[in-house]
Amino acid sequence: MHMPIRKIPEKSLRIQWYRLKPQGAFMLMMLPGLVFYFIYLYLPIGAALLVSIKDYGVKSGIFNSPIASPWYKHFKFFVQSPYFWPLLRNTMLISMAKMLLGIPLAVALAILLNECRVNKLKRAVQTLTYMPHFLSWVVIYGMCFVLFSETNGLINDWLRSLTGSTVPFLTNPSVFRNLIIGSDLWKSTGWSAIIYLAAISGIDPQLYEAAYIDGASRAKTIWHITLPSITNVIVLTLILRCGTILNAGFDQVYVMYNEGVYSTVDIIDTWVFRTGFENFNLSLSSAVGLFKSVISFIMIVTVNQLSRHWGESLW
Amino acid sequence: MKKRIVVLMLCMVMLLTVACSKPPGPSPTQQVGEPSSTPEETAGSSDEPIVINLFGVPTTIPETDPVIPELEARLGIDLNIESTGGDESLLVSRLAGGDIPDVFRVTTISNLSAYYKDSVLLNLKDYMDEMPNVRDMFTEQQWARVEFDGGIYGIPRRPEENYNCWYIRKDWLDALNKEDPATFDELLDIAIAMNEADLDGNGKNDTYAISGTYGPAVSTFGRGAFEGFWTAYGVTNPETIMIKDNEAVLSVTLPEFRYATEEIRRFVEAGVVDPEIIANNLDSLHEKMATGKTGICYGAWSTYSKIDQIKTLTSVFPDAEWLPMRKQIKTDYGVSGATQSRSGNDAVYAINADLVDQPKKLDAVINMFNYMATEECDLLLSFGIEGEHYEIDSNGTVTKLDKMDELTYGWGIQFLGRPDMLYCMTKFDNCADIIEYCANEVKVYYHYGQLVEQPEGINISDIESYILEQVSQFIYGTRGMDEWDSFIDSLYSAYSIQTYVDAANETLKELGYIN
Repeated sequence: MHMPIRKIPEKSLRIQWYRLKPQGAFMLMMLPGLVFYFIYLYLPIGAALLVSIKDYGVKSGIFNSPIASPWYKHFKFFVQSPYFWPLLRNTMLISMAKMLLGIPLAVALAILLNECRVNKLKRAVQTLTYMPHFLSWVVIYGMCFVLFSETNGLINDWLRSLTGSTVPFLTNPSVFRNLIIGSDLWKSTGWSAIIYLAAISGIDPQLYEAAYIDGASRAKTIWHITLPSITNVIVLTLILRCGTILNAGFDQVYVMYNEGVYSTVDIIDTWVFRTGFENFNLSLSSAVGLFKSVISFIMIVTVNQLSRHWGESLW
Repeated sequence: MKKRIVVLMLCMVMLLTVACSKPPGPSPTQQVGEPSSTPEETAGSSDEPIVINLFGVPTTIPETDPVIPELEARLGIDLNIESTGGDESLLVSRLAGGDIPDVFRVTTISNLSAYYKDSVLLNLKDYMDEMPNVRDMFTEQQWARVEFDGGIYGIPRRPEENYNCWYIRKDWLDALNKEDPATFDELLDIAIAMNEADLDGNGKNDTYAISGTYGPAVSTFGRGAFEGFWTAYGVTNPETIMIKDNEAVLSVTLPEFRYATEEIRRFVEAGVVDPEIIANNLDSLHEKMATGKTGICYGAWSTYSKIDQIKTLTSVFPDAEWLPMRKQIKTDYGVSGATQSRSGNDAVYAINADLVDQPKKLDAVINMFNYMATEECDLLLSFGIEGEHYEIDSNGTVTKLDKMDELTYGWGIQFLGRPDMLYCMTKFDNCADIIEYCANEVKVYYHYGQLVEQPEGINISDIESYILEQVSQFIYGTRGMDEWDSFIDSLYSAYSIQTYVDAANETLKELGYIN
C-alpha cells in the first residue's frame, strides 16, 4: 500500500522564530542542558581529535604539542600492533554475545513477569533478578571464584564427586570467555527487563480482552500482541547497544581476567589501559578512542538504516 | 504566568550561582590530599608551614598515624599526602590534566623517561650539593638509573634484600617421613606423596601439592609460583631481560628456559600443580594454604611468616607449619634461588620542574629529602616514635615495643627505602632466622628490564603480556612443547624483540653491567 506523499511546504523548513517566542522561557531553561552537552560531550571530541594526531605533552598542552609525524602515527601503531585483530575479535565477540543473548533474555524475563498472575511471586522474582545490577564487579568476581574455582570452588567440588574430573572455568581461555558473558547476563538481565516491562504495561488491555474473547491462548497473545507491541522498544535498545559495540565492559574484564586468558578476553579498552594509561601514552589512548567512536558511528547509522526495513528507526 | 516563569528562572539562576561559587575557606569535608594550595598561598607569610603536595604513596596512611605529623613538626612543613595504592594510571591522569603535584612517586623508569621528555621533572643535578646526604646514600649505578642526557631526574630507593624461597608444610613432610628435597625428582616424589596421602584428612582427592601466584616480575616481586623452577635452571622470569655470557637476553628465548618449562610440564602432567595458579591472588592462595589444599608454595617470608599471616595459615589446621625448605634444588644449569630487579623493586620519587618558580617551596622539598637520608629520620620512618614504638640504647641497638606492630603501612612512607636487615629483623623478630636465611643463603638472579627505556616503535607491555600468556599455555599444556620454536620465532617476527634486546644491550653497557 502506498501512502500518499504529502508535499511539505517550503516555509516549514526554516525555523519559525515567531512560534518559538512564546516558549522563550522554556528555551532558556533548556540552555544549561545544551551548554552541558557542548562542554562535556562536543568539546572533548575536538580535543580528542587534536590529541590523537599530536604527540601530546603535559607541558605543551593540547594546542602547543607538536603534530605527530606522520599525523596518523598513533593510529598506525594501534592497527599494526600484533594485538589489533585479536583485540577487535575479542571485543566484537564478547560485545555481540552480550547484546544478542542479553536482549532476548531480558524480553523473555519481562514477558514471563508480565504473565505471572501471583503478584507476590512476581515482585519477589523481579527484585531478585535486578538486585545483581547493584553489585560491583569486584564482588561478582569474588563470587565467581568461590563458585567456579578449580581447586576449592563449589561447582567443581560437585563435578569432582560426580564425575571425577573438573572444569577450568577461570583459566581456560574459551571457557573463561563464557564466564565473562554469563556473569554479565546474570548481572544485567533483570535490570534491562525493566524497560520492556514498562513497554508491556503500556499496551492497551482491550487488545488482550479481544483476543481472549476470540479464543486466543496465552502463547498466541504473547506472540501476536505483546511482542509486536514492544518491537519498537526492542529495536531502539538494539540500535543504542550497537552504538557501544566496541565497549565490551572494561570494568568487568579488568577485574576478572588473568594472564592465562588474554587470548580470548583481552579487549580494546584493557589494552588501551595497559598501553596508553599505565605507560603514559595519551595520544595513543585518544587515537584508539576516536577509532572506537568512528566504528560506533558507522554501526549506529547502518543499524538504523537496516531497521527502517522493519519500520522502526531512531530517525 | 509570564512573570511567574521569569521569577522562577531568576530563582534558578541564583541557586546555580550559589551552588557553583567557591565557599569561603576550606570546606569542612575536604579530604587530606586534595590540592588546596596555590603558589600564592604557600609563598605567603613565613609563619605558616610550607605545604608540599606529595602524590602516589603506595599505602593508605591511617588518620591515627603519628609518624608523618612528627616528620612535619621536625621540618616545619605541611605534607599533603595522597595515596594511590601504587597505581600509576592515577598519576598519568593527574599529569594529563596538567595538575602536577610537587613531589610524586613514579613506578617505572620507562614512565620516568616519558615524563622527563615531557619536561615535567626537575633536574636535580644542580641541587645535589644542597642534599649531600641523599647524594652519598646511593651508588653511581643507582644514580645512573635516573639519569637522562646528563641530568638527574629522580631520587632512587635503597633496594631490599631477598625475601623469597621455597616454602613447604613441614608437618606434612614429617608425616610423610621425608626430608627437604635437593633435586626435582625428590620434589616430585614429595609432591605426589602429598597429593595421594590426603593429609588434610577430608577424604577427597583435592590436594594439589604445588601452588602459588603468577604474573609479571614487576607485580610479583619475584614471588611467583614458578620462580623456584626457573632459577634452578639459571634463568629469570620469562618476560625479563637478564645477562648471560656478558650479553643482555630475553630470558624466555634461552634454551635453559625451555628446559625449565619442560620440568614444570613434568609436574603438571603428574597432577601435582594447582591448575589455577594464574588466577590466584594472595588472598585465595592464603585460603588454599590454610585449608590444606596445597603443601608447597614458592614465595616470600613477608607474605607467609608475619605473625598475622601465620595466624591465617594455621586458622584451620592449628598444627600446620609453613617453613622454608632449607636445601636448594640443583640442576646442571643452576641452583634454585630468587629473582630480583637490578634497579630495586620499587619506585623513585620525582620533583615537579615548576618548583623552580617557588624557591621557598623548592628549598623545603630539597631539605625534606636531605633529612630523609639521615639516620635520625630512618629511625622515625622505619620504627616510629622513640619511647612509644621503640627504644634505643647507647650502642644504637633498637628494641621493639608492642605498638610498633600498629605501623603496618610503614613501608609506604619509607620514601628512600630503609636499612633493610635492621628494619626487618627488628620489626619482624618472630621470623628473624627466616629473614637471615633468605637474605644470606638464597641465590639471587637479577633481571634488568626495568632499567631499559622503551625504544621507539615497539611496545614492551605488549611483549610482556604476550610472553606471560603463552608461557602459561605451554605450562598447562594448552600448547604443546613442539610448538615452542614457532612461539620464539613469533616473538622475533611479530613483536620485534630484537629491537628491545639491542636497546637493553646498549643501556646495560652504558651502566657498566656488561663490558
